[in-house]
Amino acid sequence: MKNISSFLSIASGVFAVIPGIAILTSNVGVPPNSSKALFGGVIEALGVFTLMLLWLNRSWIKSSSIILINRLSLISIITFIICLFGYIFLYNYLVVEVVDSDSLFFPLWTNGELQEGILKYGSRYELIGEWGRDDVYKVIQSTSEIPLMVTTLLMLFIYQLIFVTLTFSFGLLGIKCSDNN
Amino acid sequence: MHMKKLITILILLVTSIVTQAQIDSRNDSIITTYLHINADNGNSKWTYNIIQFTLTNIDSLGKPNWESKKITEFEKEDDYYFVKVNIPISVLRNSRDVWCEAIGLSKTSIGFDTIIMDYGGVKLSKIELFINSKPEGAETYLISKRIWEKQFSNVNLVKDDARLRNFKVNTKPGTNTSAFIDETVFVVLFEMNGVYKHLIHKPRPFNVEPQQTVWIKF
Repeated sequence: MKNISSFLSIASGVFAVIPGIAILTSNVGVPPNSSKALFGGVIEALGVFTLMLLWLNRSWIKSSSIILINRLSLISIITFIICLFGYIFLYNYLVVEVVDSDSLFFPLWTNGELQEGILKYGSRYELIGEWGRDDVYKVIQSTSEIPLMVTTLLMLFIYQLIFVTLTFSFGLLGIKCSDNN
Repeated sequence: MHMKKLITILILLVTSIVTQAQIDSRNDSIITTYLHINADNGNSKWTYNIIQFTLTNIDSLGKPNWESKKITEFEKEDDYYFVKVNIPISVLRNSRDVWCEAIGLSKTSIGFDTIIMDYGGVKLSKIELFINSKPEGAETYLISKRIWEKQFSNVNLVKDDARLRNFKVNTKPGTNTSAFIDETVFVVLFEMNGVYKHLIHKPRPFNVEPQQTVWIKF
C-alpha cells in the first residue's frame, strides 16, 4: 500500500511539473503563433498550485470518506478525458496544416474578409490554396483579433485542465492511500 | 617558363577581380520586395492615418547600415499595409527582418500633428521570383490575388494604370526581372506596348523552392 501511495504521489508531482516544462522547451500542443511561455507558464503554475492545495488540505483528505474521495477522483479523471478529447478535437479543427510550411491557427468564428473568403471558396484549405498561406495569416490577424484571443484563451483553459485534473486525481488518491498505511 | 607562370597568375588575378566586381555590383543592386505590415505592433493598434513608412536594417553590431527611402505609396487593407520596398540584395541576403518606423497623422484642435511610431521588426520575404517574358522588356506588376479580386478584377487596366503603381516591380526597367515574395498567391501582370497579360503564381514554400520562375509569351 505504501508503494502505491508513493507511486500515486510521484505521478501527481510529475503531472504537475513536467508538462509545463515540456511545453516551455518543445512547444508541444501549443497552437501555432501562440505564446509557449504563456501556455507553459500557466500550466506549470496551476500544476504547482494544485499540489500545494492538496498538501495544505491533506488532513481533510485523510479524514474524508473513501466514497467522497472516489467520487472526486472519478469526476477529475472524467474531466481529464473530456478535456483531452476536446483539446485534440479543437486543435485538429482549428489548426490547418500547410504542406512544407507553418500551420495556420484559425479562430472559432470568423469575421470580415476572412469569413467572406471562406464562404467564397468553401473551406479554409481552399482559401489557403487561393490566397496563399502568408496572406491568409495576415487576414486572420487583422480581421479576427478578438475571436483569435478568445479561442486562444479557451484552448489554454482546456489544455491546463488536462494536467490539473490528472495532478488532482492522482494526488488525492496518493494522500488517501498514505492514510490507510 | 617564368613568363608562362607570370601570365597564368596575371590571368587568374584579372579573372578574380572581375568576378568580385560583379558580385559587389550584384550585392549593391536593389530588388523589389513585398511586405505585410500589420497595423498592430503587439501593444496597441494604430488609430492614426499612416502616411509614411521607413525601413532600417541593423547590422550585427547594432548599427544601422541601410535605410529605405520614405515609402509614401502603399496599399492599406483593413488593419494592415501591403508595402512595396526596393531593398539592396546585400540586405536581403544577410537579414531576416528590418526595423520599421511609421508616421501617422493625429488630429488636434488646430489641425493635424505627425506622430512617429516605432513598429519593430518586419519579416523580409525570402522567395526569389524570376519574372520573364518573351520578348523581353515588359513592365511587370505583382498584386496579391486577394487584392486583385477586390480592386482590379473589373477595372480597365489601360485607363486605370495609375492604380497599379504601388505594385510595379522596380528591380529592373522591364523583364527579365525578379522580386522577393512571401507565401502569398500573386497575380503577375505583364504590360507591353499597351497589351496586358496576367497569370496567377502560387508560390511553393521557401524551404521547398527558394527560387521560382514565371514567364509569359506576348
